[in-house]
Amino acid sequence: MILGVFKLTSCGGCQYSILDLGKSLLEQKIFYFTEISSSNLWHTFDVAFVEGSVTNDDEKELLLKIRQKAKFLVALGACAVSGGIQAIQRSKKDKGLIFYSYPLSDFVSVDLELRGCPVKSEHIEETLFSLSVGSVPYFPDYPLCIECKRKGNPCLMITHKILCLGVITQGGCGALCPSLNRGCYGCFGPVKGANLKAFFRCALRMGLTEEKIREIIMNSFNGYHQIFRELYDK
Amino acid sequence: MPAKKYKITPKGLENLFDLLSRNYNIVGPSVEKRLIKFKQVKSLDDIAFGFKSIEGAGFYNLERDNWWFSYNRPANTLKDFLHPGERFLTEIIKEDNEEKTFQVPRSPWQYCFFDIRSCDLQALFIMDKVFKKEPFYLDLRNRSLIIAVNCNHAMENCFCTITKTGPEIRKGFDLLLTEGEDYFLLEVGSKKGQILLDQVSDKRVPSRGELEDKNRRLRMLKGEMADKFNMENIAEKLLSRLNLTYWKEIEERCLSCGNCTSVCPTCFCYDILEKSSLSFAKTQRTIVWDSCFSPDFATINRFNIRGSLSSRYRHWILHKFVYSTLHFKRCSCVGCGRCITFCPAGIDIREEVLKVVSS
Amino acid sequence: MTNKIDFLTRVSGLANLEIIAEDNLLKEVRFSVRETPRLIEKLLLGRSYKVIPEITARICGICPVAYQLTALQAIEDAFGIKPTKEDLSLRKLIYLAEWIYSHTLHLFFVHLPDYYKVNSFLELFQIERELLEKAFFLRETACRIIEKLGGRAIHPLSLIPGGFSSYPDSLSPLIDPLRNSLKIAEELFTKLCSMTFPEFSLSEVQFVSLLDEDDYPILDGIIYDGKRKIDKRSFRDYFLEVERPYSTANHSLTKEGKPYVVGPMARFEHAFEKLSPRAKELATKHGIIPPVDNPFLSPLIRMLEIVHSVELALEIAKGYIKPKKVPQELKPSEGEGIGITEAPRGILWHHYKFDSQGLITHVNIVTPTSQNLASIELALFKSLSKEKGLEEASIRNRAETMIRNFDPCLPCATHFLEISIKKLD
Repeated sequence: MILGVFKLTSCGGCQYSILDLGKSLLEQKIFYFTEISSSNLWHTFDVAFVEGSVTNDDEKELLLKIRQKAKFLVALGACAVSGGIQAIQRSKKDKGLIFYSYPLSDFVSVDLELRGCPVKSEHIEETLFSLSVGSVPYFPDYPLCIECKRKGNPCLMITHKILCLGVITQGGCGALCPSLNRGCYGCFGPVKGANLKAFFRCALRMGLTEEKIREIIMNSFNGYHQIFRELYDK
Repeated sequence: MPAKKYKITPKGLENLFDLLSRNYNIVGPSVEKRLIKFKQVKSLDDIAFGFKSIEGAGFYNLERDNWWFSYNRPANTLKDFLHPGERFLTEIIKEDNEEKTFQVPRSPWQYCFFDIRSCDLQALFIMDKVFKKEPFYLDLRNRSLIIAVNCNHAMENCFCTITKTGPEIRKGFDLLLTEGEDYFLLEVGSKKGQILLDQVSDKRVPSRGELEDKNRRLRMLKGEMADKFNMENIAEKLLSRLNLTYWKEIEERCLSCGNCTSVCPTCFCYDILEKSSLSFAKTQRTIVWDSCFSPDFATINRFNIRGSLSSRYRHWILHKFVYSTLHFKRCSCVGCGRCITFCPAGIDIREEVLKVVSS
Repeated sequence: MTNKIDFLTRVSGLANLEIIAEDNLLKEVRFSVRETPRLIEKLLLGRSYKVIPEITARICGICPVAYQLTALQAIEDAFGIKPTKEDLSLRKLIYLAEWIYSHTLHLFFVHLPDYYKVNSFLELFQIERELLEKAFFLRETACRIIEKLGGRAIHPLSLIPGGFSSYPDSLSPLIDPLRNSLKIAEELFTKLCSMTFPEFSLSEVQFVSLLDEDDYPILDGIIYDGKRKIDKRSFRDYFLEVERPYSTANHSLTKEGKPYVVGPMARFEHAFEKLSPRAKELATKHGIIPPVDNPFLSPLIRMLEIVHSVELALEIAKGYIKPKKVPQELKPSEGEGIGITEAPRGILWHHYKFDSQGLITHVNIVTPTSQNLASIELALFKSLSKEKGLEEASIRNRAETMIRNFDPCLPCATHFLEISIKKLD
């Protein structure tokens, strides 16, 4: 398959996860990946991976161009999916700033979103494998809790009495944080159908204020995800 | 025919444990990560003797107590061992010479489940029916040994009297222990149990008073559990209330996180995941726990028959109290109360069922 | 005449090069970073100290551990807690793994193709398959170490103020891969030594690194610029940042207005004697000893640091016993804290002030790349002024190679600027 890897505004961590594929990368035709190659060609890409969020007109134009050239466009990681940590500067608290950061899906249609800050390299592998055999890649679409319990972890909200975003966060990472005795901070972004109302109720019950809960969601690296946007109007 | 009931001293208990550890991988309640958990243990010292958990709706704490078996059932269930959360099912590797090798792992463990309470034993009977043709489960289960223990007291979240799954243990064990003043009553439930018991030193025949004492304790235990709802005609009652506005109200509170199904000793739903390497050299199948609270659980060819959270919650309750009676001739809620303790939203199944049946 | 080279490749992030010449005589070289600043410092203001390690890690996806550890040092400094010996040793292990990870990535996957005149490591694979497989193994080992301690290789999760949130039961699965890595790293160093590197001297710049009494500097130390020893609290008195209108990254200069270099070359210069035994032995054997002022030799020094890191990591992994402790309780109080460590690319400096709730009232972060930018420009100028024609095709490769000698990481260099940004509709 012909691949292109592009970076907009981000830390650069996700695209280097592609290198985790190791030798099987050699079987791919990487036509565009400026961070690792000096020969970069605009071609029709079977798969274009785009890391980072859109923060200016140049990036917006670049993204539109990628969309035109890409048969299958993958948003790579939290910045591309939700606008990243830099996107939350629009929240009320930081109103003084003039900084905007948007997820890709605000400008173009995205064929697949790979979650996480950073993405998991197995998910990149699953994407490439499935597309190469003409099937649909599979990723968990349920809350992290289900994955966490599979690992045999007790619920930290109950045993450690700390807020864990796992209940509203999409699984897929392998419940890394709870396995290390700390609450999930939400880097995989909100799960489909995340029940924010119940989550606020639950967190208030633990003694947090509404403002604090909102800030914790903002700090999740996915604070500007479509599902969380209603929180900005409050 | 030798007598089936004995009493042993703490020394005898130690002796029994030593005997067990010679032939079995003992799984017992132990303190880990701020809670009491079933895990593989090496010696009697690893058992959570003298601890007890204080549990409420979405609440768990550890405290000290002066009984041996002062705690109740642990936080996790035997599912962790017989139907683990993630289990590698098979692996196919393609060698460089195109030859393919298949691997189907078999568990090396020979478990002795030490200290199983009534609720968990009843749950095991249900799992036995669910997995009666599953080779991994069957293999482990057939080779395992069950040392059951009668509870000393009930926790706030216990309700085995309602579901009629306890507190007294009557069958399904190899050996049964009941704690007395300064001794343990030991009862035999199988041949394997008898053989073991024959080797235990320091055992005596209990007096009539001591046997009476066991019954007195169990009666007291019954009184410790609140009758929050009753099971009379529960299936009909629930089925005639499928359209209550109540089911919508639960969406205000339920996070749909699936914690309840994960800690439930009888929730058996699973999914099979497949993973292949990009080079086509390796493919793997893994069996993992699934949950009916997962948003897409009931999606059949892109059509989700339980898209709303309320319909998923309702399904869970109905499965426990209605469908299970149809499939297995028994309710699959065993009254262990784990779903109450580990619900981050503090939802209490007893209260919810009561709300439904009384409206 | 201005000649502009857009989209420099094989650097981490977005940058251009502008070459200004008059009558074919080189006047100025502008290395302009085009990466959008993400204003991470601004974003931290008013937030709790607890989020610093996570959020600052996102400044750089190649060296997140450096950000986390420097931030932790600053937080612990402010609230007056001291990590235990065990914690420091484990932190050192995860940091060394990041050095290996970052150096391997840069050296083999980004820089080395230059020396074979190919476009990427993918092409290099056709020529030097075995060598790259070894490099993959080193990178893999580093990833496994970080994963073992922190859950995942990029943006790990267990590093918290006062210690670790969780400790692995054992590190023994790392020992064999580390043993193999040591062998491999030594082989790779020998292999690299047999290559020829261009002659060049950058003797006019100062080397600045940390000095540690007992160790090759990494987790802590006092700043040393070749003449003076400077406390981390006086960093700002000796090093200045100046804006460059053509770049979204500031440049750092010494207070005398001179460019300086941080990173492997500076550490090598100042702490050669404290390299691990194998690393020192190999270096001496191949005559790679200070002073080295040719940036084209930086791959050798990076490789040497890989040998050093693997050897030390192996030692720590071998002696590991799971600590029986819970993280220290931390009570926020009003105050300020400073952290300084040696990131893979050089000195990283964090400065925070907190209010009594532990909310952040002031942030200042100085990154390795921003400190190297002025030296990179100087080196480019010196290197290109020897070129005859100043056409893009002829100088692009030469310029890019020179830039890669310094291993610049541009997202890190730009995070802190306050500039006005065009608003999107």
